[in-house]
Amino acid sequence: MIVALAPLLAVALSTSPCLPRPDGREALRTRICGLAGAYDSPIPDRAWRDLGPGADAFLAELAGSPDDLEARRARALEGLAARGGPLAERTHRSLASSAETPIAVRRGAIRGLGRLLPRAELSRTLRPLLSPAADPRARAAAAETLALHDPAGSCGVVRARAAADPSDAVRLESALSTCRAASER
Amino acid sequence: MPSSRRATTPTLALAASALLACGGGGGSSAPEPQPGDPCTTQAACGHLLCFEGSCVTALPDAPSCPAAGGAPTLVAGAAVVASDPGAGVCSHSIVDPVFPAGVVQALGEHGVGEQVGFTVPPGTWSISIYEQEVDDSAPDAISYLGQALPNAAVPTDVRMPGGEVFYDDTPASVPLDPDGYLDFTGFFSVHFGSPTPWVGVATFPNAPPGLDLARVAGELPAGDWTLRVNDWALECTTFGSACTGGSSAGRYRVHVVTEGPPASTGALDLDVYLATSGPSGEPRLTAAEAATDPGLARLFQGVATVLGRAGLCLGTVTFHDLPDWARLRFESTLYDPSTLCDEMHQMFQLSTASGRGPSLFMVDELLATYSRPGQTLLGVDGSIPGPSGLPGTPASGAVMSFGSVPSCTGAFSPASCRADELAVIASHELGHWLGLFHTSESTGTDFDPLTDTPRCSCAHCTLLADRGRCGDPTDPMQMTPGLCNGVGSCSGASNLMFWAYDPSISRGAITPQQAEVVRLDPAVRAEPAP
Repeated sequence: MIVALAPLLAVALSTSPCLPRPDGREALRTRICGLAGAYDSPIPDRAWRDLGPGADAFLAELAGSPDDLEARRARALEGLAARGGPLAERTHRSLASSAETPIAVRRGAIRGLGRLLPRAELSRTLRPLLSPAADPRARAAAAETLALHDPAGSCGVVRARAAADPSDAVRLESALSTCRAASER
Repeated sequence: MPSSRRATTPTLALAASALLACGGGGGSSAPEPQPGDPCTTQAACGHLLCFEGSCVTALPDAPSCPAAGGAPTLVAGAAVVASDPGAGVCSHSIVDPVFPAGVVQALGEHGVGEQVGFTVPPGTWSISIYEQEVDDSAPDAISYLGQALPNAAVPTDVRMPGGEVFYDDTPASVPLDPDGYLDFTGFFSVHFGSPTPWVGVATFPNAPPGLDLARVAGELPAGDWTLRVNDWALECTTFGSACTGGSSAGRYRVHVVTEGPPASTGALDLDVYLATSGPSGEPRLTAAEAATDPGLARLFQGVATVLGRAGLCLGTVTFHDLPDWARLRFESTLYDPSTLCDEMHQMFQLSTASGRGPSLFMVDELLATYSRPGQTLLGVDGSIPGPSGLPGTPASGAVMSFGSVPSCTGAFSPASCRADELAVIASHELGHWLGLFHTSESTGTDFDPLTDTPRCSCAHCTLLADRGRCGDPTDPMQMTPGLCNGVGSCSGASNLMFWAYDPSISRGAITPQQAEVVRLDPAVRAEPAP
């Protein structure tokens, strides 16, 4: 009996955090999911910061929810990055490092680390993603993030990577453009 | 202002009146409402919809779309063939509308400020005016009150045969609603600021007095109309020191498209361009695979369901592969609202299929640069409305991000089916393409020009302690769906064109006036009801 119920329980637990549940978080849920559901409007950082206590845990749950739209999960990461803190960093690190993370969410986590980590730590964390073994889509996001936050320390590596593998060149265009802009400043 | 508003279709009218009359949130202690429960208010149905006296999970499809035949046809079309212009290269082309000669009038090239005549044949219900910049004659941007703004090609001083103004881009005044917010519902037509240098389109009428004018008389006034070729750069020259960078040098190629009455139903065909890749650079989904993918079939059936509420039947959805360079460059698409040289607008020029319908780009990731780079969007349009019948321009696209699209079974249910959620997002962007604005913007201080769309006013719907933030440019309120899921002026979150999507609240509802606006867009081809 217990074995038979297990799959059903898994299904029930895997529904989106943005669906109503009797968990006493309705007000927080509607505020966060509303902000995360903006079609085409920017959400000011202050709106995320104003969410109050409990928001970090909900945002982290939403960011990690495999049943949610990738774009909504990425938005939740933006909310976490705006708020900062240990849970934000842990969530970003976890999603950024996992090859199982859907690529749009993973790229969002990589970008978010750029807002959360000091430069040296950011370089240490993202440099491995520039290696040939990494998913090229994640590599592009890491290159863009490093080019933006640590151009002096990373643009040489990004250029070398683009030169070494022309198949990567298109995906690294944005990072290379950021590097060019940084070198002109 | 004419007061008669004949319903567009009986079922749509009933659906909307039920929604508007009910409009309320669910209680917390009552039993969970079930489909089929009787209702006289929306509150009685909680998260379901009160429709014609019963709670339902979703509004029915428009009756004019046959149940079986209403399913869209998904096909793989020709792959886009285009050479790589190189990263960062910014270009734009002038194209000819795809409409037949009897529908489109080529008015030639004219400088801004020139008055140009055109003919409105008997039986016309809508007018679309296209301006395309020639010879890089206009500035791409201006500075208004110290803020850089892209130029926008938009006609002005559109006049009917009797000389009465049908549209003015710089009206002398705009009335205020009781809350002190701008109220555009009394105009014949409205064109909200949409930065569109190089190419602009305006489709009129799109506000109640203009819609009434056509509906009551059975046509817009036939005869000789005039318009003034215009852009924001020209308007800038009249604003004194408040605006710099203006110019009266812009020249535009002008076309006018006139369309007849909206049939009880219309058909809409889509061209869908796929910019989605796997780790090795291979397509994550080819056009051929997309045409038989169960998740995408469910998604576009969902789009058909939502648009069916506006009397639109989704016809053929044609998928197109992009060249490898374009797919890899645009799999993560950057949108910069300050320029048309951004990736998104350059990508839209790949919409080379020759249909009159919208071009929808589906990408892995959509990012915007507003106050900082890298802000995720669910979707966005090149312009509102989209340039129907004018493929291949920087404004000729809508774009949405999508990841995995598992299929579902059962009734349309955005709350429980990801493909249906994506269908609502796609329909929202298509609603913009077809001329709909957000019913309420995020601040709760700006609204669409329609009178039957629920509003969510910051002045009424936020806590007293927060009302000082209403209209505050530095710290505006964000009127999330949860604040706008009630009654009266605090509703509208279930509408397709609300500014934000919440799976537990958004239903993709469409009002009769919204339905009328979308069916007047030249993207829609008339299709007689069966």
